[in-house]
Amino acid sequence: MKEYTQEELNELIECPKIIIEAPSKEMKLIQGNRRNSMKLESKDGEHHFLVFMRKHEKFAENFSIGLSYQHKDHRGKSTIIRCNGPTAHSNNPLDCDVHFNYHIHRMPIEDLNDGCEHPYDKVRTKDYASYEEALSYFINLVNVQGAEPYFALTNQNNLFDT
Amino acid sequence: MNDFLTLLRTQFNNHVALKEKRPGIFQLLAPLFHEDGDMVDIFLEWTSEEQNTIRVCDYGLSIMRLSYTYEIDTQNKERIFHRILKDNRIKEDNGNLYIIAKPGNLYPAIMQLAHVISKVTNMSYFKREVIKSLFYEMLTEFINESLLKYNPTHRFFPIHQRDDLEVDYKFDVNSRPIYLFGVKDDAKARLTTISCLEFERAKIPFKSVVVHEDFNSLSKKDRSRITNTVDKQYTSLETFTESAIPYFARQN
Repeated sequence: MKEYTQEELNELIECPKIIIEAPSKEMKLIQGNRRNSMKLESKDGEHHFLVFMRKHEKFAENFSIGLSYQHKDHRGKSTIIRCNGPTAHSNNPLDCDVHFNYHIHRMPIEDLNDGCEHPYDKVRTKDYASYEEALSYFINLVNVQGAEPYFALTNQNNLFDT
Repeated sequence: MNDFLTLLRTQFNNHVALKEKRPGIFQLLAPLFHEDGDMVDIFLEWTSEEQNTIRVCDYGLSIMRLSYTYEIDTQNKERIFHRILKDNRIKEDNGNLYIIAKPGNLYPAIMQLAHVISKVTNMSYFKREVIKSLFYEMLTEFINESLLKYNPTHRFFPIHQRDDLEVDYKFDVNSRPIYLFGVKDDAKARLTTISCLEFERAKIPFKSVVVHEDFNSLSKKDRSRITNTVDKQYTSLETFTESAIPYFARQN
């Protein structure tokens, strides 16, 4: 079973990727939330990923955009990075230390090597403040190339930049 | 809601709060977390003030979370999902999991819903782990239950001198025998490809069928090689069990 290094994990997130199965033009409303997805391949053809995009129909702040990596062995898929809206989360559940802010989940390297499915480490972010901004940020973060035809990516300057 | 908050505080040892998510919809902040540290989404809202009942629900956020990595998109999965709900007395309305409670029953109702949310969001773990460890056993079980009339021969060697080229199951059908291979990883994919090419070289009449544990988990090159060699592929055990019977009937 492969043991990844932190550098390899970073590379999986940052390597240039192309879209091999395009997202739907419109997000589909299924059971109260809007869904879309697309499949990516690293440009060298070696790695495969699934991107999921979810936005709650009633609570627009409840959204999630994630990159799942398909392991080459029996471990299935692991979500290695995920951008979330301002929902309740904790880095120390046993301390009940709860935060409400836009945050990004990242998979710890030990968890990736254990075949964990969900990314535990969370970092607050100020890089986006809506689903649309998060999507644009995510596309750049995971280096999806040729995404422009599929998404209305926000390229506007920050209104509050001085 | 403030009276209930006081009651809940007692029951949760003060580790609970309510946050108004939308007018009339209160999010419960309690020490209930998913594996990734996100708090379990539970909401309280009046169902009927006259009847003094509260809906404890998740507004579909559990199914939304499950859908990140797992879709309830087959009859089997639907069946498992509804079984979980029914066994635990949780109702569902367009993905919204809920239970109706009176104020005195709020705490057990919340715990009941949290328990079911945990089961539902972990559906993907259970299915994946079961299949990963029992792929060949489940394939065998299906063959023994549903394809017996085609006289399956387990571990068949078409070329007597070559005990390194093994077929998982041979089936007798009218046209040509079906050689079925269960493929779980790259190594088995390569062996299957080599075996089929050698059988063709030996001019053995057969039809090759491959059942993958997960086609997408193979490397690009192995996917390409096996696709260019074999006659029929099923990308997962689930698709095989759904389509095998009519397929075998057509070959007969």
